[in-house]
Amino acid sequence: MDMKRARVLVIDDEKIMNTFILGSLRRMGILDLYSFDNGLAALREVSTLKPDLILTDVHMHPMGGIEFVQKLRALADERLSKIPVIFLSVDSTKSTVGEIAALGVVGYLVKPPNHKMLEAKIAHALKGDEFIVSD
Amino acid sequence: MPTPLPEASPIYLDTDLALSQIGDFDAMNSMLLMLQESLTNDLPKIASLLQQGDVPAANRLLHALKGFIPIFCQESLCSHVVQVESMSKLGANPDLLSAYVGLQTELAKLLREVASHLQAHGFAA
Repeated sequence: MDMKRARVLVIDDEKIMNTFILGSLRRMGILDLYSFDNGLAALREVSTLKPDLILTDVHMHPMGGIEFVQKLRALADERLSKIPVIFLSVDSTKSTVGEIAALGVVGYLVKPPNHKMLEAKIAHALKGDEFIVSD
Repeated sequence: MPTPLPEASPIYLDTDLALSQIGDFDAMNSMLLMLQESLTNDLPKIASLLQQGDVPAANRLLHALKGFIPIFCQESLCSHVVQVESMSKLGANPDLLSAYVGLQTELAKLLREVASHLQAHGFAA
């Protein structure tokens, strides 16, 4: 789908990072944006918003990104359970990346994400490409 | 003997780097205001948490710092943040507080550089 028509949810509890990511998305021409500071708040709204893509942090309270995606993937409505997800995290340990890869997400980027890398990853995600790890 | 740099000369703040990553001068300054607020609040908080032995809480703040510092700062400071954050993952450690004190000195210098930049561009101190 056309990136500029995509509705994107950003989930991050760190104000500076959240602003940075939203700014990057606006520079790509993505203007239909919603942001949340934890997975639980996003999960409550996801069925109403029906986003085309979700970008999420890993560690948040009361619900982190991994638990959020587990719950998203368990939803009965396939339009929601199959939404592509890209993780953005400071944590690049093999165990975290392995856990994330098992969730059927389409990407993982180390923070702060490089603008061009993020743009490429979003383009891949909106085309339905497979999981790719990069930093 | 080398001449010391004046206080206003940035060592850690790299506005060219920040601008290239953020893309817009006004947006960069807005984010520098957030950075200023974050450093003002969190630097003493991290020290206090480490003194109290609450290393997990200190780690959470250092972890967040590790994520956003590379937007604004040169590599040497980013590496130092990574080093201290890694130490804090391992829990209580006699060397951790002194390592943080060294980092805090650098981050306090960064904070002064941010304030100086903002003041030079019309933002109230």
